[in-house]
Amino acid sequence: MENTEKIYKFSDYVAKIKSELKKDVVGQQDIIDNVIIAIIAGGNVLLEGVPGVGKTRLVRSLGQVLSLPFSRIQFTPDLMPSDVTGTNVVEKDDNGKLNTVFRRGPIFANLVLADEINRATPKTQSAMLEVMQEHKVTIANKTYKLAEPFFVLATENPIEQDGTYPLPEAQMDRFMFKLVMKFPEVQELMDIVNMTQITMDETANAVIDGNTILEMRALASGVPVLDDVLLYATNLVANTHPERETAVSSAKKYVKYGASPRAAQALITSAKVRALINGNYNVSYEDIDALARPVLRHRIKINYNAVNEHLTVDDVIGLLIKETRRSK
Amino acid sequence: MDFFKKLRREVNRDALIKSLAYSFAFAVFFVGLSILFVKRLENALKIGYLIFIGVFATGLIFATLYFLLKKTEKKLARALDEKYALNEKVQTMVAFQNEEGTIVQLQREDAEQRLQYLPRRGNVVKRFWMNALAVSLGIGMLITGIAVPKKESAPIVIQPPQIQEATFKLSDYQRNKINALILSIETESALKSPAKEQTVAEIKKLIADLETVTLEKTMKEKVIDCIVAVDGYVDAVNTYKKICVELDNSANETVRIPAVAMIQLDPVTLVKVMNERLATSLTTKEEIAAFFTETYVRMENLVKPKDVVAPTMLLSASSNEGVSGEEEIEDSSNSDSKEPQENPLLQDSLYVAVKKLAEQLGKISASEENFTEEGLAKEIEKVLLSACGNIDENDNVILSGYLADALEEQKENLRVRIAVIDELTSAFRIDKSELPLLACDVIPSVGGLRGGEDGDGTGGSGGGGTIYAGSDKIFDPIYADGHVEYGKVLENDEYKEKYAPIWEGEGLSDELKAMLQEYSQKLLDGTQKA
Repeated sequence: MENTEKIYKFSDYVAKIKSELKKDVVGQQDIIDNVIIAIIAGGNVLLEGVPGVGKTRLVRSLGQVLSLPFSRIQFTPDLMPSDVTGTNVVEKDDNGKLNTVFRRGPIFANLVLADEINRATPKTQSAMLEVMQEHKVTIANKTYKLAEPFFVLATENPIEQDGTYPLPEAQMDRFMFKLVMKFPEVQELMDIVNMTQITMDETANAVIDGNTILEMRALASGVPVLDDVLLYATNLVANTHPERETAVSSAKKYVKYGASPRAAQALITSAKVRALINGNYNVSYEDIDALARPVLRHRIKINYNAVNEHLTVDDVIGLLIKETRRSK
Repeated sequence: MDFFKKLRREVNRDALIKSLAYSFAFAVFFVGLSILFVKRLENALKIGYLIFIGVFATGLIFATLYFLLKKTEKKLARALDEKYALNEKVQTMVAFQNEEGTIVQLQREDAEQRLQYLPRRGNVVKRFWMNALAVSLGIGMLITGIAVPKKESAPIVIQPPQIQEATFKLSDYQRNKINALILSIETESALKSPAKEQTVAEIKKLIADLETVTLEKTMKEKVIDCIVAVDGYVDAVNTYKKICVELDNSANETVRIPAVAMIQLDPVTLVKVMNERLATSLTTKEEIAAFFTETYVRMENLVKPKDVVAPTMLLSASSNEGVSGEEEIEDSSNSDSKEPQENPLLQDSLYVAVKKLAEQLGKISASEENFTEEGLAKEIEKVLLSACGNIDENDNVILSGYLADALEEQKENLRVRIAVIDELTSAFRIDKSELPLLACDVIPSVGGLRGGEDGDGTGGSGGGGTIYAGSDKIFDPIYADGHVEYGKVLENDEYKEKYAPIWEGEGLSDELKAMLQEYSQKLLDGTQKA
């Protein structure tokens, strides 16, 4: 298929994905949009949500729609890194010979749901996050590459805090987005109930495959970004740092520490995908603004002033956006 | 990007038109305003400055507006994106216009397509109504400036400085001083009538006038008028000038000698000139007779200017001795004996004295005695002694004669006149330089050079150290010894040639001529030591 045709089909594919996912996931449209963006952009998503809002279902449906193998890892405090990555086991072959065979862990899938990642020990977390970063597993000096596209959707349960190991900021930075899955609205809940009365299985159909995702990823990388828009995105990230002399007042007042350069990369990469999804061939300020919260909310830490004023991190990001816009 | 570029051209063309329109509107407005200012304000800037300011401002406005309104590709792209919420499509298109790539190409096409769907830019009226309004305002101001009439400024009247005129009030001191002067003139002075009465009357009139005068300027005028009048009266009664001029007009040189002797009213000069010149000039009876005749005729001319016939001398026996005294002389040649007696000059002592002198000398010539040269000289000497008196070696008058007495009378008149002038100028603080040329000060020149006459070389009256200029010498290489007596300088042909045409021409006023005559006379006669 010609590139042009592929580009034209880009938004069609996404529309189809959304349409199929709707069959299995009620509401959560923003989450779905951003998850799709993250997948196409090649990023991972940290999803925060109470149990039962459809996190697993989403990833499972996504796997079906994208024709990608899906696996779910339930993180518990006793989960070992090898439980995630896999390990070498000794097996007797048919001849009775003992051989060391690498048994792949659940990480060897295209779409992985790392459920309640904050329940795992830091060691297991770091093993998981390393794989997310490297897209490969090294066991006994042997490297096993993971299939592309590789997407991890990790979840955090905001309710259970006892016995949890919150991800360190450095690790959080590896997630492109942090998305917050809210409790569905009443109508949405009604739809969920109605839908699941019929069947609990995912009914979404496959619309594209992994290669198409990769193609879409490649296409998206070619979306032009205006220097002013790039400057805006980088300024936005830079303005999250209160220690800078030129930091905006909101950052100085409400932010404890700001986002890393990965945030700027994530902003631009995801903005390109978003632009194409929306049928635009260039990144705009609107794309940046729309993705600022998912990209930054897990990368900045608000201080006591914000808490005191009942400001959430999203509120602070909103102020940062405003001030960065004004100074544009 | 063709559509975008076309759009940009249109936008920039509009920018140019708008800039021109606004700057034109400003220029016209400014011209109108300037005209209004120049017409209505007195201290408005000069038109040259206004023109400079207007042109400069118009140029600045045009350049500024065009700079602001004209759009670069980037500016226009940004403006379009913002105005039409194109999500940076146009800006991206412009920024990546030279990039290759599928998406970039698609982006360009997408942006161009969006531009084409933009609403039309509006018709001319919509686009330029503001400019039209601005131009209208400018034209309106121009018309106003032209139509408003010029403010008529009040004529500049330069008021002369108000000179506070000095006031005057006759003081008691002044009044007393003048009254004392009047009294002095009336009782003590020998001022001759009618000059005396006239002088007193004039001064009394002055006092009366000054009682009502309030300005100093008026006071001065009146005082000077009084002085001039008094001077006139004195000059009228002093006949010496008239007599001297008449004698000086004679062709007979000896007749002119008494004029020279009398003109200064000085008894010493009288004695010296008469003895040294007249006595030595009359050496024969014929000469004496001629002197007598001419002098008598001249005197008669003064009282009867028409043809005068030479008298037939009918001398009485008592007059043969030549004793001084007034004697009546019958003049049988004149049948109109009553007319001359009405002339006041006939009663004038100087006139009478001059006539007597002539008659006494005439008697000598009429005598039948044959005088020797010495004898004749002695006779003449007697007559002159009787007329002029005598002086000693120190120029002191030791004996006065009737002619000298007559001169003294007239000199006394002048003294009174001087006293009046001194008193009046002193009392009223008038500088003498403010006085006009007075009649008495005009001394006619007598004894001057005649055309064709050889000067007798007696430029000065001699007399040792008392006469200046006459015998003093100055350097003049024309003369043999390199020096010439001061008074003889004018006899030099070179000066004669130079001043004669000027004198006879129209270039000199009578006043100036009189002054020059007097001056040259002094050069010839010298001046007396003060």
